[in-house]
Amino acid sequence: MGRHKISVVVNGVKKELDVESRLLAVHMIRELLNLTGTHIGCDTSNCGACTILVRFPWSEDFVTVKSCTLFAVQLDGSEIYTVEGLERDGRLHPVQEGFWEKHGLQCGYCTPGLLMQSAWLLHQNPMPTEDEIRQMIAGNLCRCTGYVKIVEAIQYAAEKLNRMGVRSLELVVRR
Amino acid sequence: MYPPQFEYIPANSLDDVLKLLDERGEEAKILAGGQSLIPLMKLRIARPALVVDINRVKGLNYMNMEDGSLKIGALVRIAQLERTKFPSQYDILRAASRQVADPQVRNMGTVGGNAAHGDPGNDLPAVFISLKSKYVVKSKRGTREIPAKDFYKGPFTTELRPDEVLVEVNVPHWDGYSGGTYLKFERRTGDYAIAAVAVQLTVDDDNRVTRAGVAFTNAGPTPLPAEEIEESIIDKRGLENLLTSAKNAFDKMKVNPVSDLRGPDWYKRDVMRVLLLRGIKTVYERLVR
Repeated sequence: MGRHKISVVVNGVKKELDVESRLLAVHMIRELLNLTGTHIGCDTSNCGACTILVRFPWSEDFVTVKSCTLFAVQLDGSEIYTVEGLERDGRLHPVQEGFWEKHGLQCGYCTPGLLMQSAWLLHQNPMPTEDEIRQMIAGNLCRCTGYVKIVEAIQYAAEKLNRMGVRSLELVVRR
Repeated sequence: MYPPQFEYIPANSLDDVLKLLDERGEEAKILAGGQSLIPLMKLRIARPALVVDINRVKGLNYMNMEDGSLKIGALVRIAQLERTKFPSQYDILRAASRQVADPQVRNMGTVGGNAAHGDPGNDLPAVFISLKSKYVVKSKRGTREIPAKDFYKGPFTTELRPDEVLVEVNVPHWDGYSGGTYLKFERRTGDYAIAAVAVQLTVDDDNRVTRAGVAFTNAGPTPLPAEEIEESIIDKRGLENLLTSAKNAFDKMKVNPVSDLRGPDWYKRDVMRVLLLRGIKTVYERLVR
């Protein structure tokens, strides 16, 4: 009962998949596409480790969503980016570089989700205040860092993007 | 966690939705943002045989000022509400929407879903009640408008019949001497409220309150309209006067929040009282001249 053929552009590559209605997007990403960078943390929409970027067919903009709270079948006709899609040609995205330079991770479990949320928040708001950064990562739990280093990493990325004169998702979205 | 199996139908038009609900409403659930439904399905608390996805339905994502009233389509995302610069009399919408869950959830979650779900912990119902809003619901049988204050019957139980879908929130005209706020007290960022209050006031040239809307979140089995408090402050002027009247009215009100991990009932009642008085103070001081 309830299988669907769907078409999704994943990190710039079109994929045709056959999915059960109840398959969650995060399981599609990890188990059908073998992109295990996207983590499952809480599986209850709280922790944000499974955050991905999606442009749904009904919207012009990319948004971040928790892929454990989305059915794969809802992605038919969408374009998605996972943490594997952040770097390009071996060059890290400024948010990845920021997490490296500023020690924005310890165990690293929350990092894929935080990187996706950071890339999106800097596209929305290229020069956020510390308070705005903290508001925008409120849906991503980190139990190691205490967030101070994560905020510094995002500030590093904001400065770098502004120096480069590009908006965050221009470095991510494949045209 | 996997939900039980279900049939999934992406609807392309409102007519398709109404037809499906007419035929199979009893076994169907509407999927909009999914931020409440999908977690409930994963926990197998909700087990709909049919899920009707309305995300692709056109014409349900709009915010229009018409005939003085503000019409909000059911598929407006909470993040859109958060980013919209409303006229100042509707600033409660922005104040409340930014306190709903977290950014990713607000990117998906919809106004219609938050209103129709019937969770007493959802934030927007109290806001819509305080704004004296009506919900527009449709079925094959026709359209009806239900005042938000009469919509909620119990936890996850609303006036919505199995063949109906909520399509619009209709916020009536509030004049330029109006404003409101939503104060939410939570244990952790992004959590449901321990208690929260929506306060919406209109003040005349004499600084007299001429219209008031007050409602609470997570104060019992449903969002709680507080008409007694509204009546107690209408025609009053002066902050001290308002606060005394509101406090007395609150203390006489039947308020039965449930004791749970967010606190015992007496504590929640205290939080509600404090938030209520703080809310009235915040809004009144902003409006007086």
